[in-house]
Amino acid sequence: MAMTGRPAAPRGTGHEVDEDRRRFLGTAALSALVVAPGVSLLAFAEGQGRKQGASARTRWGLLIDTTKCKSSCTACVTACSSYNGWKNEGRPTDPQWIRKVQVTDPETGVSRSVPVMCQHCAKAPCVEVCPTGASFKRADGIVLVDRHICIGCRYCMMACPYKARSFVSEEISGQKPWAPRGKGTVEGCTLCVDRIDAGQVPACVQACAHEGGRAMTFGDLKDPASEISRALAEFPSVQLRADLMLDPGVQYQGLP
Amino acid sequence: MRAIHYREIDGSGGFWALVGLLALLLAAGLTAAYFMEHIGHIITGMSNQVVWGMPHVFAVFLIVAASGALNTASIASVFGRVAYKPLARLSGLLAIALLIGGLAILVLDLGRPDRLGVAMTHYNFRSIFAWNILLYTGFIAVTGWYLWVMMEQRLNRHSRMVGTVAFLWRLILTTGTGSIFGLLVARQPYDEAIMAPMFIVMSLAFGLAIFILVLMAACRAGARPLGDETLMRLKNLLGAFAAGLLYFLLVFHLTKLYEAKFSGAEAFILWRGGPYTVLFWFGAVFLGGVLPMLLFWLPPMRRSRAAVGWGSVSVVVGGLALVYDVVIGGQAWPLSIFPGMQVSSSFYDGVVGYYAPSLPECALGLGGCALAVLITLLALKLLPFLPETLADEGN
Amino acid sequence: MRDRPVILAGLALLLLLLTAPFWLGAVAHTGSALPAIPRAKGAHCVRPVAWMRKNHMKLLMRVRYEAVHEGIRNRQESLPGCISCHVSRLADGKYPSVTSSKFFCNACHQYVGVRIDCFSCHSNRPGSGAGTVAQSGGEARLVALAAIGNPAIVPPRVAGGSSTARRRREAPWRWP
Repeated sequence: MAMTGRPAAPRGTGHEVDEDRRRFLGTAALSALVVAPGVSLLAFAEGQGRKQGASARTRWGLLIDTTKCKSSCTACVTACSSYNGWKNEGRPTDPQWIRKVQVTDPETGVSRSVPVMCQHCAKAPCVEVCPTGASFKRADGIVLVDRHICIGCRYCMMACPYKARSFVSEEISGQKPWAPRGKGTVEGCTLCVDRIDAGQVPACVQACAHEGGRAMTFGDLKDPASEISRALAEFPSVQLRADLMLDPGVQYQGLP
Repeated sequence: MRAIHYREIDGSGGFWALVGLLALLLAAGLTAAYFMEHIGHIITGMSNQVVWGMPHVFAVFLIVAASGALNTASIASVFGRVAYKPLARLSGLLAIALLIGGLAILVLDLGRPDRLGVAMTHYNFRSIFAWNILLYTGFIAVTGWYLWVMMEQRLNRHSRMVGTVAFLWRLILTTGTGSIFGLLVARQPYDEAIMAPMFIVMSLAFGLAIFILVLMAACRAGARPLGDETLMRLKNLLGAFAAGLLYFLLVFHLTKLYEAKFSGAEAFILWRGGPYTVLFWFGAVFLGGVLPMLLFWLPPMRRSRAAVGWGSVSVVVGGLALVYDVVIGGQAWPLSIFPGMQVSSSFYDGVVGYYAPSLPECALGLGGCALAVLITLLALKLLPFLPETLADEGN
Repeated sequence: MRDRPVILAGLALLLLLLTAPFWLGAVAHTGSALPAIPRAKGAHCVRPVAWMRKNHMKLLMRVRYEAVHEGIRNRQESLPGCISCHVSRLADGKYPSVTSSKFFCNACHQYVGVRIDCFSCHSNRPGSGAGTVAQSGGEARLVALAAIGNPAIVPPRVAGGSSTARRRREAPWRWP
């Protein structure tokens, strides 16, 4: 199947909806009214729907400006937890797809609160070590676990330098339909891949924009015009454990 | 050189009592695995901080020891030392039994052991783990072939060739096992290529120690003579392997101490790590290396069989301590995501990981060990693995 | 050969034990009713029913690969899509338990004794549109709804039809 054009790309921090998409949905709604009563707008959109999936022409990235991130704010963590249906009750076995790490320079005393999640590395160690290939990277750079073939060996958790993955160590119920997860498999931040495929920004980014300090910028690193690319061009940023040369898709500004 | 006569061992009441005891241990291990799968790993001491626990300590120990147990056979076939030939069959048998025991633990600890078929059909060839699946199953096949060639008289002439294949295979296998840890760049206590050869030396020591213990027990229980010369030869070899292990530990930690990025992790293992420090110095260094050498070579104990036995026990206990220190201690040391910074979070960043082995984990680990011994015992009973006599020549 | 009768009896017993599942199954199924399949909400399935009865697993395996690995998400042809149409509230207003025979998949799967483990991870009830983060605007909610499988009715697609997805390669792996 030909991959023509970039998939409708969500840009910015959650307010702006891609122009094409808005136009398309509008047209679809109008046509639906005219053409087929009883066939819903979404069914119609689906019938004609974008069939192209993740494309290598895109690399999704996240830029986190830690100077705008307050220690007291946990909007991103709460949003991720409620959207994806994981719960942290403070036990060492509880999953944490995203967490706030308080980072302090012991000499200068400069301290920042840093959201840490899967860094969606271009050369991800978790992908390298996974014996079955369950840990994989999508064409657009999102690193995921295919829990259909994950055997629960946890080697990816040994290999990840960011402690980004959790193991589900008990029976769970009430999963969200868009975020399947279950006992005996490994999980982690998906960058809200279902939202990205539907043209939305990740839940953490949206929450940060609405209730947080607007510290997170999401977008396509391969598009020089995207907000994230412009922000990266303007201010210096760093990747965590850059010495490992894993080329993470998540970058940080203002670290101590 | 007199002809060697092999014979099955006799099944006395003691034999069957031991088989029954091991079967109970195995059943306990299987029960533990059942609960771990059905309730989840929540019933173990493992967490998101220490993701590999007691099952992996036992599994790694058994797998490493398995390749080492083949030493005696290799010395006979590959290096042509005739004196070791009567021991070669037992050596091959132990190698297979220990490996099956270790693999059983590893598989039953998986989050989804029901998906073993997936692990066998989906290979990511960039993964050292995937390579190990092939290396382990291949090792069982190659060693089985080797045993066949040794035990079938018509095929005896091939034993050198097949023995060489098995010997090379075991070197690659242990390199693979060591690389599981050595290639983990994310964790400071690992991330060192020397772990691969170090695991080979570990395997030489652990495998031979277990071999000596099984040999002594089997000869004693079956009232088969075991010559001093044979035993002392094995003892000297084990002493040399223990010294080799100490040397590798020294080089490993000296290298790491020299690099600033490892200093925190090294301080943790070597002097600030509480139980992990004790395990290293008392367990790995003293029990695994120093004590056996003293027992083997101090003048008053030069000819003592008890010293050989206790020295081998010491190597096994010290070896388990070392593997525990590597597997658990290596994970307990927190990841350095922000080097040089003080960190804290709800996810135990910057905190030494807490781990206490739980009963099901220990049961699973011991069950695997029981399986290995059970396989060995039953095989000894069914097939002629052990010579009628191992008395010294001329006696 | 004094042992011959004993050996033969043992072999016969072994054969009987080995084939026990078939005998027991034959006994258990004589006279038992065919499974009662709960009715779906929509008028048509995404494929003809006869095709689905035989091939639903193939469809699920393909869309699973496409959704997870390639990011191609088709709302109707997805497990949440199936659930949203095939799982309804019972008379007491509650959704059937995932272990009960009133749960759509179980009606047949329990009958034929084929265990599925989809719902150890996947949600077993229709999504409600709760997929949005609390503060998101209407548009976002719309899209989120779409992503979780809208129970809308679409004209049936014929097997081997013109769906783009059908021309894609099969998933490169299969269950053993």
